[in-house]
Amino acid sequence: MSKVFQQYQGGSNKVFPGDKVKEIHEASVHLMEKVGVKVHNPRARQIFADHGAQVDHGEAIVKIPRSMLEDAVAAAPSRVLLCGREEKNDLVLEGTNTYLGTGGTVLYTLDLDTGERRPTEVRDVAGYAKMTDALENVAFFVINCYPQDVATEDVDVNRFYHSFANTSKHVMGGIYTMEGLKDVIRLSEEIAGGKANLLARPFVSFITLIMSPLVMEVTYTDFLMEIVRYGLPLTTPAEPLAGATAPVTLAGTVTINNVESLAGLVLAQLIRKGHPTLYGTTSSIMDMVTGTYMAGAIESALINAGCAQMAQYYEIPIYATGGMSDSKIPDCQAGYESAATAMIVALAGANYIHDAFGLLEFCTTLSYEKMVIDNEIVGMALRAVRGIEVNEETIAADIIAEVGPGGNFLAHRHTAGHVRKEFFFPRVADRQMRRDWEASGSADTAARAKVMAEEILREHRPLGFAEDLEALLRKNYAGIK
Amino acid sequence: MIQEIYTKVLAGESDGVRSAVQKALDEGIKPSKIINDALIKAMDEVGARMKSGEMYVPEVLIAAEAMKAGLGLVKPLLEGEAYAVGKVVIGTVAGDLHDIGKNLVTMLLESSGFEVIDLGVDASAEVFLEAAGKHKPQIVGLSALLTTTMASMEATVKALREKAPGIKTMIGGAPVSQQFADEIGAGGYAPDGASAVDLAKKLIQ
Amino acid sequence: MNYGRYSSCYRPLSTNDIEAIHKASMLILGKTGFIVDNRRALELFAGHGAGVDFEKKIVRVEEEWAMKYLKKAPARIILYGREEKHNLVVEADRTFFGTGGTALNIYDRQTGQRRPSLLSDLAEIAALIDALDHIHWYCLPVYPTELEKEDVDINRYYSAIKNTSKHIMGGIYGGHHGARDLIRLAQTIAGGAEELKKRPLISVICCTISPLKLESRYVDFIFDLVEAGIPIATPCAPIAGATSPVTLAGTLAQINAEAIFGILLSQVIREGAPAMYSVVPTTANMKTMEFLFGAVENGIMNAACAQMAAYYKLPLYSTGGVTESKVFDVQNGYEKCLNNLLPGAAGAQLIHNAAGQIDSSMAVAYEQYVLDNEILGAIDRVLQGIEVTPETLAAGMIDEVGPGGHFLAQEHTLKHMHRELYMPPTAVRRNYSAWDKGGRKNMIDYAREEMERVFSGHRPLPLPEGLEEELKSQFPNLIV
Repeated sequence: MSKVFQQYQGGSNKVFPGDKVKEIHEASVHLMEKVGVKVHNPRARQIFADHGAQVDHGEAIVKIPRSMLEDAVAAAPSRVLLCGREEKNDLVLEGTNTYLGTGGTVLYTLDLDTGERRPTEVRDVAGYAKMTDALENVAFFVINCYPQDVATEDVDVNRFYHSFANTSKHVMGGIYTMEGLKDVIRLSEEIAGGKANLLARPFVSFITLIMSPLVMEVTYTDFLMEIVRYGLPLTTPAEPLAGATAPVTLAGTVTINNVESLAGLVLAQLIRKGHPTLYGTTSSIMDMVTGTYMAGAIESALINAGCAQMAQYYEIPIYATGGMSDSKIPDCQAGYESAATAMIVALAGANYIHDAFGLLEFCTTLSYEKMVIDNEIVGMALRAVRGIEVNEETIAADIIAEVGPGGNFLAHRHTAGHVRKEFFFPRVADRQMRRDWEASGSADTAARAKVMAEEILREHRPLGFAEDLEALLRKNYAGIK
Repeated sequence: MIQEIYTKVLAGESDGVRSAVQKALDEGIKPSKIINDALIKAMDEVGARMKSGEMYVPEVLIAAEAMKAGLGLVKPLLEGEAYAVGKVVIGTVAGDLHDIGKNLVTMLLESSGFEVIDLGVDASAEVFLEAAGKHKPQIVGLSALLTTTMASMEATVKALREKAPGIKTMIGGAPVSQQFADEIGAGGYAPDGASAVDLAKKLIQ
Repeated sequence: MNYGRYSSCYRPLSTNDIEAIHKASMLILGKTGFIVDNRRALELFAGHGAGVDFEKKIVRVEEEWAMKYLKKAPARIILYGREEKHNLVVEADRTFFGTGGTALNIYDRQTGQRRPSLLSDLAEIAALIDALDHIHWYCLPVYPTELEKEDVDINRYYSAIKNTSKHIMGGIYGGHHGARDLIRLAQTIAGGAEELKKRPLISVICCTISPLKLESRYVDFIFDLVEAGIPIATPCAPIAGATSPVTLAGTLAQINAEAIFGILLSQVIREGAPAMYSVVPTTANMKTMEFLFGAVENGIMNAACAQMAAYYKLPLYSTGGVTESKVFDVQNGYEKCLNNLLPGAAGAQLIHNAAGQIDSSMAVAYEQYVLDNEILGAIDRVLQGIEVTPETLAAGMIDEVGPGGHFLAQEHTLKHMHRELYMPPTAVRRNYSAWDKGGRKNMIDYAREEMERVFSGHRPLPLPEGLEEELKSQFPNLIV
């Protein structure tokens, strides 16, 4: 591969010591063998049974033996390639390679003009895809909103069509109907120029959920099986909430998440050995005051970092979560919650961190301004992940001697030569002295971000489709808006 | 003794509530007084503290368990006196498999003295109607987490309005709003667990 | 005693990197040397066998000599407060967060308007942070602009000591006279010179100048403070690209030499004197060449300094989150968060400037302390990590609850929730409808409410009776 998307190596953050990884693994095996997973889908249950799992069809319980888990973990690839429609956007998921991207799926967005919350529409799928395409730190587009202005049966094809049309970065998404899934796969084939091309360079992948605690239900599991049989990459995330659908202790939550996500992965590997399956987590906590799911809670970052350690132990790339906020507007709370959760999960070396751009309010509302701001927060986080390059040239002891005590480095060629690589240059943050800031109108960060978002939506030109391809797709899928 | 029962419920001590209730009964205090002045009153206070953020959800639920432990002793002694504040049939509408929100509301309603019949997840309009006919609740509560299931919420509310007009409906869940409740003609909308209890109380008045 | 929070989540330097920076710093100290603009100090260095060029006022020390004197410095310093729970044990990899300064402006807490800071602000901020759990010590944040220079020092420290029982740290502005008054004041409050040495309830910051320079005035302060047994921080604040190399590694090589040199001076004055490896690494705005406080590179360098201080086994004074923002906006939130999180996750010890400042440290704001306290609480939760034991794994309970169940009403949840889950005091966690109905209050609104609650309800531990009168009789210019 000649060009791929810029790579960063996380992995220095360990939220528990290495020997504890083994303990969580053993507790997980115990739960798989003794408690089991409730699999409501009879076809999936049969697959487990055919391969030797202990299945109680009456209770819908599948007990997964250690050997079955071990075989699946060995069979699952340690390196998953998620392509963009352009090679420069290819992502190599392995080890502690770290990428961050969008996530959802939300029903509302803050309107860019009015600032008020309104239902998301097809134009928002397109808008956020375009923003993804333009912002340099967004590595992929997990389709982040649900268009409320099209009929249910047209939702899937609209979500994916408008995503492909507006970004050449990798597109991943959930699906809502089986027909929709089949449409999306056909649509992708047409764009790729056939199934073989699509599988060789998969620029689309899917998410199918496992329900916490320990449940695989009918529809999502049907999607899972369909996707695996076809061969496109897949993640099977679980969303245990500490204190509600998982123990309040984070170790217990990581354990339950581990069992759930691996159960999905085992099923995928039973159907097709070597299928590119990502370990997955969108785990967080329940707020003890309101009883609702929290997205920006700091514990969410710790659980995700813990899951990254587990995925690294199994040598399976991980789909994780970071960078969200529960604030209703892009304010101080949004800044710190997004920064803390993105930073911690990135430092843990999670490979594919979704939900990191534009999300507010428990992942139920998007904001164009926030997406621009998050592009900057993630840029800073990745700068920290990159760390410090230490060599003779960067230490520059000879230059310090040359400048001498009491001197300055301003005009030295060493400064001009290294500054662009050493410093992160923010575009949204204000760095002016107070008098200049006041003179330029005293705008806050959200106001500055708004201007930038408007500019991107107005001026950015994504790869898009050739005219004849667009005509063909619109002809084949009448539901496309 | 009434005060002691009240305090032990607040502290979530099931054993303590049981022994205090037993003592109260031995002293000849009327069961309905124990229920109304100690058990239900304590849970009203719990509800208020939850709303103000002084008590956390698990503490509320443990208090509810203690209340139920006391109620278990008193209930058989009631002679035809109604003890429940009201009756609610609750469920997650067809197509939706998320139920933690509904479970929480169920427990909070129960802890405020409501009798709750839980229909579980993925319940169709027919299932709701059947339960409404069988249990004769004052309220039917509907929950949804996915937008795609808002349509089945609307259908269920409509069916209930037509076929069981005496029953009030209340809705909740991430995608719904007061505006949506008004649009589909639901009796009320609650943004979270604590306000669901308030709403239910208001609806039965 | 507070032993701080342990963490080693973030390690921007490898072991080889640490060695390379050490070697480069030793080269700088041995070859380039340090300007020491103070005759008494130059003679002292010469007397201890360091290379001194009296004409150019340059001190050069070889690695062996430097390491010998560095080893004499204590690896652990205890900073005392007026209450036992506020005594901070400062040693490698243990993190504390403190305030910082020194700003000349403050956002008025009634009007919100920016105005010159006053002595009363020092007292009120002290009372505020006394009640904020995640701010561990009080680094004097503002300069009382209404006072004469000679009255500033004792009044700054006294107004702080009176209003918080947490440890007090600050600079000196009233020259030699100010320093000596301050020492006497501290001795009187401690109950004598020996008592102060045993339980230093203040520590003092004496700046060095980057690159590689010690000013005469500060060296004089250091002599007096070291003799009085008061712990000192000798921070240097190189600006990468302006007063140090633009490469972070180069700035680290220089700052390491500067931090070490401050400690060497303290050890030639008195072996075993409590001195901190002190750093304020910053970067320059490449458009204006003004220094930056909120840049992410600052956090990265502070994290690296934590590794260097741990390598030498020295207590560390480092620098945390300041923002360039002028308002309580999203930039404010993320700059503060990242620049406190990175050193904290690297096990940096005393992280000053972690709370209160805004506008590149040109001002402080009351509500900012409450906002920052919350961010620091979240960071503290990160540093705790995930505890893995049979009890926290809870496999038995998961078995009991079973697939499809829930954990809301479990004893286990009740028992562990306070330890496992951080409950942020001001973040908005209500949903949209509740937020909308409740008047759309955001974090800053809750922070202001929290601040008012502290001011109306919290009373710091009073000073012993009679102390104020005694001090007043000794220091006629003390404002009480």
